[in-house]
Amino acid sequence: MSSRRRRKTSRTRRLDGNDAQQRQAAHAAMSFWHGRVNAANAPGNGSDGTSPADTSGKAASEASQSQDQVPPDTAPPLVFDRPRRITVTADPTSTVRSLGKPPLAGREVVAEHYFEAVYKRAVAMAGALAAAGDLLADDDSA
Amino acid sequence: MSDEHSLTRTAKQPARAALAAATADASARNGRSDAARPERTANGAMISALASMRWHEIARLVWSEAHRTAGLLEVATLETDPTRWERVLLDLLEQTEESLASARRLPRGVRRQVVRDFESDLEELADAYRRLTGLDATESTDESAQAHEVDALAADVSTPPAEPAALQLSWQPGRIVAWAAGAGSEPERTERIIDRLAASGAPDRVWRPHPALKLPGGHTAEALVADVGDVLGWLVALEGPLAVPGSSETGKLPVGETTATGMVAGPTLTADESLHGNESLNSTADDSDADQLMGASAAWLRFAATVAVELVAGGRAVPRLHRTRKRRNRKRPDTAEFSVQWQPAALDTEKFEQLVGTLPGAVAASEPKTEPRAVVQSALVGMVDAIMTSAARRLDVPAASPEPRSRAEMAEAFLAHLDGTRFTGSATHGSDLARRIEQWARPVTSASRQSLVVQLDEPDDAGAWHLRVLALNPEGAREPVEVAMVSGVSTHRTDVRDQLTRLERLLPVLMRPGGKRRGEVILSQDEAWELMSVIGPALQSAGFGVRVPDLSRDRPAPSLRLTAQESGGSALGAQQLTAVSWTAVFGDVELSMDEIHDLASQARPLVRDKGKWIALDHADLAEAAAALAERADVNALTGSQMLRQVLGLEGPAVRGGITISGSGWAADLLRAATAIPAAPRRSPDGFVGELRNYQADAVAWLEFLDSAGLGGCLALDMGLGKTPTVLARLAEDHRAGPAMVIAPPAVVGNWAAEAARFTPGLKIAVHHGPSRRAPEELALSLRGSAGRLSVNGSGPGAADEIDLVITTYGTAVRDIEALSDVVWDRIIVDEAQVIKNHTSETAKQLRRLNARSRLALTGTPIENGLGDLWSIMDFCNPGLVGARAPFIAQLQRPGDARGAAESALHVLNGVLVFRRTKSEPQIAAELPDRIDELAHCAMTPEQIGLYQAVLDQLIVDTAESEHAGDRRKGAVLAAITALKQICNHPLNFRPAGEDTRIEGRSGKLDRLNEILEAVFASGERALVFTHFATWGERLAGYLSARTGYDIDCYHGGLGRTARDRMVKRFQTEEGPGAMVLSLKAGGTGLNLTAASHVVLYDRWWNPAVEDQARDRAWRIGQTRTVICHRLVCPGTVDERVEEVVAGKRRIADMVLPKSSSIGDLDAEQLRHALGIDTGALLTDDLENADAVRAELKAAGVGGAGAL
Repeated sequence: MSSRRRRKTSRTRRLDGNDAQQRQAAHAAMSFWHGRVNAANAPGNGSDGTSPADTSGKAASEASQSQDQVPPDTAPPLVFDRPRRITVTADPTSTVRSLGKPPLAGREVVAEHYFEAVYKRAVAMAGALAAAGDLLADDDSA
Repeated sequence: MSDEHSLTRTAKQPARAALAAATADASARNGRSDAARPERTANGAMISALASMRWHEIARLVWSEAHRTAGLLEVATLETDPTRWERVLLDLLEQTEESLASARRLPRGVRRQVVRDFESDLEELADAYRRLTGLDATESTDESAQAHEVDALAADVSTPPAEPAALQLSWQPGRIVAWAAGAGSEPERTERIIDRLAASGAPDRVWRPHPALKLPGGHTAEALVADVGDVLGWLVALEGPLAVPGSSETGKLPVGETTATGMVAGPTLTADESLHGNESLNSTADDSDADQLMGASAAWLRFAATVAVELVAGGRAVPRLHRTRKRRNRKRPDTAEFSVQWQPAALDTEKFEQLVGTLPGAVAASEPKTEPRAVVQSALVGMVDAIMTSAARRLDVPAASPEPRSRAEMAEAFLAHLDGTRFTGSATHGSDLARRIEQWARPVTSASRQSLVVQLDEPDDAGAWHLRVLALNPEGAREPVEVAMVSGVSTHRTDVRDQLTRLERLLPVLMRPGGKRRGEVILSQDEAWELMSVIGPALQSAGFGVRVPDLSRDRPAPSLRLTAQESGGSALGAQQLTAVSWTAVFGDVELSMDEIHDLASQARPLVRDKGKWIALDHADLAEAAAALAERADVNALTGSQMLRQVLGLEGPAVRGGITISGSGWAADLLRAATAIPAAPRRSPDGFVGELRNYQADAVAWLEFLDSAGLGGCLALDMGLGKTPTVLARLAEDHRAGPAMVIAPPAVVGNWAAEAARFTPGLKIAVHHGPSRRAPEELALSLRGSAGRLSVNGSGPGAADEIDLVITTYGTAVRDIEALSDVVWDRIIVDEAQVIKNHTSETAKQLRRLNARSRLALTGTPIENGLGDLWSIMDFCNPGLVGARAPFIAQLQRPGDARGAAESALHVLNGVLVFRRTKSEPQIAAELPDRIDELAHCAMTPEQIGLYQAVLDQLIVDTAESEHAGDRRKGAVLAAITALKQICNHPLNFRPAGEDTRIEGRSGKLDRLNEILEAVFASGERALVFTHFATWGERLAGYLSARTGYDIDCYHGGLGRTARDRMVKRFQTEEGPGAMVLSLKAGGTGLNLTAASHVVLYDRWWNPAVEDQARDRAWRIGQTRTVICHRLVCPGTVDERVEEVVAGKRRIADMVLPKSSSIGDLDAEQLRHALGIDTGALLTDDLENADAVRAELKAAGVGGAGAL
């Protein structure tokens, strides 16, 4: 007959077992190898009617907190979706232009030319990378 | 019992009494007289009876069972929940052990009995534990064993099932670390990591060793590292099955299946497969899949990389100045090192949170204590920076001051180092610049930034477009930005103001004075279009929300709409004039001339179509206006004119062509054409067999023609089955009256054979040859009499009720007087290129035929030019397509001849023409690999005369050598060869004859010419096999001269080099071409897959030899359907060879009665065996044949000596 040491017991231990501890350990391993529960289940992701931008403050904080909860053992396997199709902007400098002139003393005008050149090349490179990953949006989905 | 024992019992008794009392209470509460009864669910599963009981109630039952005093019901109650039973049992063991330890400390006098009691209890509890679990409940004293057991237990409860090793990627600032491991499995060595990287397509030579990573569970993993800029392209395109945890029920997701969270699963491996390692892996995925197995960390980094690429693709990145050395150089005070670093801008918070929320710990395996948010931030910054600095490096910029000291120099140095290279400069000015740049970029880098929404409403009745800017208030509702700027906390107001300022820089129209409030403005149509088409996407790129009416990206081609006015209910025909009106159409928007002028006056004309706004092009408006002006005076058209307008046969209109609406003949006709069922029946009534899809479509088109009272051209490519298609339609609709097929003699037999095969219900009459019925007699035999005109006074009422007459062009012309007196329901001209010359006698005579509908069949309706098509179309629908010259002019298209011809056919396709070709993928997919066609060829009078002469000579020769069996036999065999040669061509029999003309002397040659014309018109290549090499050479020369293509003859008399060169040329050349081959030399071993047609000009006894020849083209490497044409002259020895080949008779049976030899045949038998069957012979000119025969006989031609 096999011999097995009885577990250390506590008189205060609940009769429904110490599953939480086990699940915590399992979750740690799950989290390391497969990531935490998908953020898509968190509040503020747009599914509750709020826009993505709405998650930046309080909602985002709540979302983050919810990630720390132990997921159920039966959580679906974690997979990472590809982002929606990537659109290459026709106006590469719109974001940087929206900030106004950069605070480069005496170089504000030339800076715009430098930025334009860099952004154009960078956007083209990003477009090439997206094409390599077959992620480019076609005109209809853009 | 001693006192000690008594004391002990006294001490224990209250507890037990309490237990019993409590149990009784519980039972009473539950309405039970004893312990809880075990229950089961509907499906038989046990329900825990202990779940609702308190601990001491369960303890009482456990004690009873341990003392073996429990009743069956009590034991059954415990058995409903062994887990709780075991736990309470362990509690009791522990209590008893503690009590025993205490008892051992009692004074000696009482200790013994008490200890014995507790030892007895302990023993009973241990026995009970053993009975329940099969395990020994006694404690082990071996510490190492204890430790091992602890580990094993821990492993039991916390270690997930082992998973197969997968490629894992970790992030280090600016670098990607690659390693390979799976949960619970040993990490792989560097060699395997390299294999996995190679399998996933990672660039080589960029990976270098990295210190081993420490993993949970004490493992260490060997690792490689690469700069992110070197592997970003690979990372974005990384593909592979994703390893997932969990049981087979929860862990396995098919590829591409969406999970409950809305994410898409990659290929996965189950835990079961993981446990069995590679063996299991092999059972579900091949080795390649195993090598490409991707861990979650790799998938996460791929996701992060695509987010970074998306940011840069939208221009959402801004620079910051980073001070790389904190300590100042003491020797050079106020000097520090800086670098420009690019960071994400206007980052979608949802996406950031998604990355944080899904981050696997393995991504941070090299720096495990890093906060998830910091890891995500670092990864995005690193990847964005990699792309931006790489772009900046490609830029030539003037060198900056080597050690900038002033503010201006620092600014210059900043711009000169956008590629991320470090530079040293003034610490004071540098830090100041870094701070100012950080403040400058804050509106797009702040995590709490507002996202303004630009909303453009549909124009009001006055055509004004109302633009509003909205912000999100603290309650989460949208409100006008001006309201948001004065409500909420200070930071909120400031942020809204900053964002609005940013927006106004990109949309200056917002600052235009005159608006009701800030952030609201009225736009003109031009400005609205600009916002919808150009500025809107730029605003989105800059992180603003944009809500504008849908703007179509399509630029609809203008078309004209011809509307036929109501006809007042009268049935209008093709020649009836009808009032018409004209409008221009863009998409679904119909515009009158006035509306076009209005739109043309606007800078940016917009119209609304199907809920979307469409920007019209001024050039298109001008084109439509010109086309309308051109037709301003065209107020009435006949039905045929309308049809010609719509088909583009009446001069150029606009790019989108002309459509027709309203009522009337042409409108109804074209509506019916578009209403042809998409998936008609493939087995029409009366048709034995199943049509291919395109054939069924063609039958539906024929039905449309019938309903419209039109004729048409069925232009299926050669080999696509025009004959069964027409037969299927005739089988459906033959009650209205008789039909007549007019075809070349070569295909008359085929028509009869296929009619017998596919439409046995049709009564067929082949009207051909000298023994055909008199035309008048034929007319009396046709189905129905109502439509029949009087034929030379003969009345109706014949009993035959013939449905389909099959005749040749020659016969039809010869009997045209009688045939044109019949009202035919349908006239079908097969190989309609025969009438491509409308001035030919045949074409003229056939136009006299009186038919409800005329149908032309041809695979090549345009051989020489569009005039061919006009002739055919005008035959089918006299007058409908207008005059010849404008028809040709309007359908003329640029490009090569074939392309132009197909374009012209495309214009008419679906209405007057039904065109399908083998090159269409959906047609090719339906075709078999090989199609065998039997072509019956006519004999010319010369051939018949020669044939008869040879046969006569044979009979004379055999009669003279009556007693010499071998000679008779030799003469017969020689005659058979001669007769076959005559069937081929007179020159094949008499190569040295006086008449060296080759054209027009052989029905087989005529048929070969027809086949090659069609093959060449399709741009395809053909092989022509003949048994006679010398004839092959002659044939090749003739065909070269006739077709203009260089056609070789491959035969055994050529040297190896010449033959190889021929084969190579045939195989490598593209476009139309042919090669003649002798059956013996070219029938085996060659690979001639460039050909898609094989013509067996004459037949050989052994079908295997013919198959070998055909297989030169129909073999591995052939990508098209191969059509094999076998040429046979019916009623001759040729046909008897065909019967032998087809297995219908043996060679010997062909000429010999049973138990006879060739030498035994008498003259009559020879005539029967080898003579001409005039009933089957395809010729109308036996009289001339007899003349030729007499002439040849007189000249002594036909003897064996002539062979």
